[in-house]
Amino acid sequence: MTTSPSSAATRGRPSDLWTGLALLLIAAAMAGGALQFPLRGTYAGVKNAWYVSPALFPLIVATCLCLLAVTLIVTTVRSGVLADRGSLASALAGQGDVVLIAGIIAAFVVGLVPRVDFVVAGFFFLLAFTLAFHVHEPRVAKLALGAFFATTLVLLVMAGLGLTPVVRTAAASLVDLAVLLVAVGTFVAARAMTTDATARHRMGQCLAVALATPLLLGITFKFFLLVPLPREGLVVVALETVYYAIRGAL
Amino acid sequence: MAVADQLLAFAAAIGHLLSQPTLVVVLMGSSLLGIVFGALPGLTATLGVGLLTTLTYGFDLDLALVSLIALYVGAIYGGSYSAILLNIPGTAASAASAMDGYPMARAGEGGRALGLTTTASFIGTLLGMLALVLTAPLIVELALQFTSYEFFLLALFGIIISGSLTSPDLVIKGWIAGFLGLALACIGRDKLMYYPRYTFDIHALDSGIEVVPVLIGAFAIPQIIGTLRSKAPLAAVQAVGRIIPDFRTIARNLRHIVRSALIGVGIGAVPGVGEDIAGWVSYGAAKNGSPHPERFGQGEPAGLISSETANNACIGGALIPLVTLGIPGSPPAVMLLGALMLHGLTPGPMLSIQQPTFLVELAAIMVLASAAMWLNGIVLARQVVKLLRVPATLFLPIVALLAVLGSYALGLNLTNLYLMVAVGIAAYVLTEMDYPIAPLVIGVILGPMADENLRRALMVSQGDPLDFFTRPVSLVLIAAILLTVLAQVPAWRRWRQSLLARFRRRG
Repeated sequence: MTTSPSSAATRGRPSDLWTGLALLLIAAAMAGGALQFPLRGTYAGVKNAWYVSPALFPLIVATCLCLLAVTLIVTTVRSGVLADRGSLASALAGQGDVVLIAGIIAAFVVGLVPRVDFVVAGFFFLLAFTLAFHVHEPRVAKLALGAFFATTLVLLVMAGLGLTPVVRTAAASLVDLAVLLVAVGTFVAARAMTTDATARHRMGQCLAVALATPLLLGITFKFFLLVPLPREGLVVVALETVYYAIRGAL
Repeated sequence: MAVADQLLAFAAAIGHLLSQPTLVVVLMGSSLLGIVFGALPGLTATLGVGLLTTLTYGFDLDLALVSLIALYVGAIYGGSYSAILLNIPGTAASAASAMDGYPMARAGEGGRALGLTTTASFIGTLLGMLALVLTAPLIVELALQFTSYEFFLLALFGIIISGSLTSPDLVIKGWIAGFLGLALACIGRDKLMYYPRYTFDIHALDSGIEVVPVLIGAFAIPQIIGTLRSKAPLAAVQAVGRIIPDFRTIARNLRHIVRSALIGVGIGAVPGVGEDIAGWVSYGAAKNGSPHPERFGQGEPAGLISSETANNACIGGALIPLVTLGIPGSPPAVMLLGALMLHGLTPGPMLSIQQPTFLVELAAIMVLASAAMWLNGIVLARQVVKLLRVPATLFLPIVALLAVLGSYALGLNLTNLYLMVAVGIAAYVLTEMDYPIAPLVIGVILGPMADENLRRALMVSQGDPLDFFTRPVSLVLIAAILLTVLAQVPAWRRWRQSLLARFRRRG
């Protein structure tokens, strides 16, 4: 196989061997799954033939993926890039930020969004994310991310134990309030950590963004686009009260 | 007579759109939002269209199309701001614009450079629209003769060609990305027998993979991770000065404009290949055809005009296969396809029958979108430039929150959120290993079309695959697919070269 015209000098990379093997596994799993689908006979009253079978297309795709994976492996082995172990090591190095950013987003989606009022969850997410990357103070970043991940973990453990309260109850509001207090406490503690004027100015920017964005988005989606938010608790209920009071007054 | 009717319908569509104040406000606002999205390094036109799609869910079709097209046009143009003033292209589409735009800004001609890109982008969009209007009916006429055989092969060709042309490394990686997209498209109940495939008893997966969360994840998450990880500090923004349209320079470069528009339209029409390649190819053509190639890269207006005309003309080109065949021509067009499907429209040849006025309306919207872009560009450019000082560390987390809320809002289920994050992280890993993302999302979109049409074709032929070789268009598509694949096989290329050498010797 050759390279695309955009970069004729490239010749693959050592990790291609591993992605090739992973692709082989994916193709095998896909084909294995497809073989469980009805290939012939009658399904749900519909007479089947091999060319109508729901397995046909997945089997073709799995076969093509398998062929492509084998070609990738052979190309990688033949190209000699496997000897270039340095590039594999350097590729693995410096992935800390990647894991961190992916972790923040994943923790927000899996831990906070289904369990905490959307505006509160969004506030904590943006506060932790911006404090970690915008302020450029390692201690502040550690504190913000530590508090964020610890809160997410507690919420996941609670969910695992079946302790997630039903939405729009006093218990759910208590959870929302606790998360809000942790977020505010994190900000206060982070601000006390440094006297540097630039860092403090940046922290102010983080707070402004974290406060305004989820509130504006929440109001826009809930009241103007009429789209329910993933979880509506403490703040959304308060917003509803204000919104309907204004509408009633008008 | 037919042309006169079309022109009347076009004028009526423009009048109808402009008679609605809400629509005009949305047009101007979306165009400005697009310019901001394009201008900020780290945000792209594709991402902008994807995120706006989730907001337009409740809009009627006209309003949704106006906002999406206006944002698309604005974002492709907006990328030139940071390219010219920071030497960092806001979008990949404007990478070539930095070559001459930045030297112009450094020489104190930032305002003139922005004026030139504004006008060149405006003309490019209009020429792209013209190409769309002129060619689409012809392609639709041909495509109406297509049957399941051709549609299956067309989907396959779309994936193979986009894989071949977008891969930054080995071409095979582009094909792998495309087939991974097809694999993802297999999830859900199949269309013919309604049998659940790879759903693992998760009911949310019964209807298949939701396209928009996949698109948002595939484009937003790698962008957020990649930009934040690079930690590149922003360079000082060059002074802008007065924004001058400079029609005299535009008139002097008319031949560059026409050639660049043709290049943009041609490249845009190729599935999955987008505005960035159009910009570079057009820049290269202008440089090669110039009597003073040494001036390129030193602040030559012709270079800037060429790349900006081409990347905006590419929009019309990318819409040609989208509207006529249901195959998106560029990554933002992939997002647009997702948006159209969300609004109950299935692009393809049948669209002209189901909605006979769609093409004329689309042309009218493109004209208005380019006019809005030009107005915003000339009047508000200096204000937008101020936004270039906002660091990515502040706005990218906001984009992440928008991506999460947008993915949820479409189906109101958390599965879409998990899907968005999983696809996003996988897309980042693939990007890092030099796999292109465009073929993957094209695979997800075209997968159901390929699956259903393959089986329908085989049902017609009672399982005889030889029927694929009995139809002329089908044969052409098979030949195109085979040649595209064979072109990457060294033995085939050696044989072709030796054959050509033999012919040359005889000649």
